[in-house]
Amino acid sequence: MSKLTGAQIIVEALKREGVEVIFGYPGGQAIPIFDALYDSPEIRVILTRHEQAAVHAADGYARTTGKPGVCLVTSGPGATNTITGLATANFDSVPVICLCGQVPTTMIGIDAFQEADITGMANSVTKHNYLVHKIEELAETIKNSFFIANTGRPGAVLIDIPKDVSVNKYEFNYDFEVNIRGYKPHIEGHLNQIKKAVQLIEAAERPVAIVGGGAIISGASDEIIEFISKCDIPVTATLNGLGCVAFDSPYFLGMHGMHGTIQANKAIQQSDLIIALGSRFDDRATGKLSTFAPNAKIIHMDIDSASISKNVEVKVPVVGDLKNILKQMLPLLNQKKNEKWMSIITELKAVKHEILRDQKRLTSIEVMEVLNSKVDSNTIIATDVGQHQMWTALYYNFMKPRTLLTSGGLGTMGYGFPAAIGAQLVNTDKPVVCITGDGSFQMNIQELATAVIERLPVIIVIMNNGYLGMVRQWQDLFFDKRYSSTCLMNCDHRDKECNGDYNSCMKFIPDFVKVAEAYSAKGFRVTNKLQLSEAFDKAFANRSGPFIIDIITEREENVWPMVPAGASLDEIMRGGTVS
Amino acid sequence: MRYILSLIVENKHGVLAKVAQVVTGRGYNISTLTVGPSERADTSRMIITFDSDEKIIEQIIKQMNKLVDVIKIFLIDDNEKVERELLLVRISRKKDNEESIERIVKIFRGKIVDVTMKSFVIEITGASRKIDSFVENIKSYGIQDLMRTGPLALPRFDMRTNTKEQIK
Ligand SMILES: Cc1ncc(C[n+]2csc(CCOP(=O)(O)OP(=O)(O)O)c2C)c(N)n1
Ligand SMILES: [Mg+2]
Repeated sequence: MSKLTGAQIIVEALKREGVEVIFGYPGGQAIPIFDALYDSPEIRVILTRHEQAAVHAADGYARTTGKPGVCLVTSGPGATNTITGLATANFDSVPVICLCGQVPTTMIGIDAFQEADITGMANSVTKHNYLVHKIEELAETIKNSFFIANTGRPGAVLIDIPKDVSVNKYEFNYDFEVNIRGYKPHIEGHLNQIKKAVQLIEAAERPVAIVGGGAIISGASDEIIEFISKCDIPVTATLNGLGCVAFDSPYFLGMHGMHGTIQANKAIQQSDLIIALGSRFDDRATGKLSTFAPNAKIIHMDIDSASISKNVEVKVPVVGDLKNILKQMLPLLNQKKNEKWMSIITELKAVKHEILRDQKRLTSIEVMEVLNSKVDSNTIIATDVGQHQMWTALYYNFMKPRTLLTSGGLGTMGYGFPAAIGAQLVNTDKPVVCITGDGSFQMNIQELATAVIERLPVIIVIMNNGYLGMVRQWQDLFFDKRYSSTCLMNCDHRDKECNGDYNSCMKFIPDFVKVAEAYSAKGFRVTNKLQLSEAFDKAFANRSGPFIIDIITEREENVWPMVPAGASLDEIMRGGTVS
Repeated sequence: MRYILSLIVENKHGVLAKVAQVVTGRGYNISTLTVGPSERADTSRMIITFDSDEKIIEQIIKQMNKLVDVIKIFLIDDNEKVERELLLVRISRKKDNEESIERIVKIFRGKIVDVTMKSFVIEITGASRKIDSFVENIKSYGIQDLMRTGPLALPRFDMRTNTKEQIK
């Protein structure tokens, strides 16, 4: 067998794994690997403008396709720049493989130039990581990494590759079975547990199903819809569960939790059975734990046994892949009607909470309504983190799984745009819209270059309120309106003269339309509904490159409803008052 | 309450750091930790003890079980185990304390393994509780330096709980 360099082995292994695109940023210790990629037209290499963005792009690719996203960076600062991206992906169970160059094995530990103990740093933000000591281990390490990243509860895997490992030569062999003795994810549900779940479901009078990110990862959407229809069960989603059940399903209650809908939170609190489907009872979703669904028993179906009974006490745990579990369970369930409960649900859904309209500037609901009227069910939405993210979750009409990319667990500002780039690269036929804030967008604004060069028609919707709006909202509600370090327009709120109006501050900082121009992208500023509709039409018609819509929105609009941090899901604020 | 966890892990780079980080990253505290070779060259055994409660231990076990390099993990049943810890302690030697120290060491089946003009070094093995009470008894004589290994523990029977893969 002819020998290959380590770098060539990496490329061959990636090809065998079906990798079609890598997001990367080169540097000294990674040059050999980039060099080998130079000869492989099968794998497209996308040069991002920051390593964090490379990981987010790989993440966006993975969330929309279900395949692992791959990124490649150099040692030291290149590697450390990936940490936020890895933590973001891993927290939301996204399969990402991060290849890092490392100083040669002979120099590890001597504080060599651009040496960083990246595996040590990555421990708490990856599912697993490897430092490849010898070229003999390289192919197996890569194969194991792909297996680990995308089985069980998916996650991020980092592979640290010293330079000598990528330049040495060895035979390439990839025809072996993965066998990791400490890693045997079990995917079938336990039949006895499933039978116990069936009993509880049949006995329940007021059941509520909660779908989480796991439902989407498992591809269980069809089974879930069959389940809730068969047993007449209303369903609410976590942030990452949105899209699993279409927004217009009569069973769908919207998102629950801190910024959940009133009907979802009320239904949970009144329920006598919670059926958690691939969700992990995050504190933003449950509110105060001791008063969460006080009269409900809990069935928890999840691939990760460590998620079970971590936060809430679970009556019937079922560990396994959700799609498998539901397939096992569905034939055991009898058709059922919960008429009384469903009529309560219908009533709950009929109560609308107040929405801000017709202000001087556009409001969140107005922006979302126009957007909803322009999209089709295949449109992929990426968000950043803040008020705009919650408005998207509350008002955007999600129809299908894998159409929302958002950092739910870590809440990473700067995630949205690079994730949208990763998504657009493989979903060439679908519109990809990044809904962002004026704060968040500036955290990875440099990726405009990547999107322009790769001709990616990502639509960037900036909900421009001139604030780090979500933080400002907390200062408004809980810190006596002391807007410390949240105004992005250089408004000094300690100065009582400042009325939060543009007149006393910077007009645009930055001027996003000019920024677009500077990158040879298109940019539009929008201040009213008519312009907004026009801008969206132009944006959706445009397929040649990124398109920024800078929407000047109401400055001090708050996200409602809201359950304050640490409060019970019953304590819903809908505009300043506790109901 | 004290819980004893037994882990069989890959004998590889970085495993100890990964195990430790699961614990520290979640704000829990390890009481004792011993790592050493096991019956196979490519695996190591760790005995980790925690002073904790059941709920936290359950979570620690689940989280450790998720580590790819952890092959097997189980909780050792306090009533069905053999446990040994080693203590080395150096105590000040004075004219009037020799005899009583020797007596205490004998009761605890320890050994005086080194003597200088100014000190004894004593070695004791046994279950951790026995060592606790030895230390209690010897405290007043002036401990100069004390070191405990933390317990080793083996169940009296073959344990198959929480087995990811049975080791052949
Ligand atoms: C990297 C990072 N830093 C800080 C935060 C804390 N944070 C959460 S929301 C938010 C404000 C976001 O502002 P913007 O992007 O303008 O969105 P808006 O809330 O105004 O819609 C901040 C600072 C975060 N989530 N991520
Ligand atoms: Mg903002």
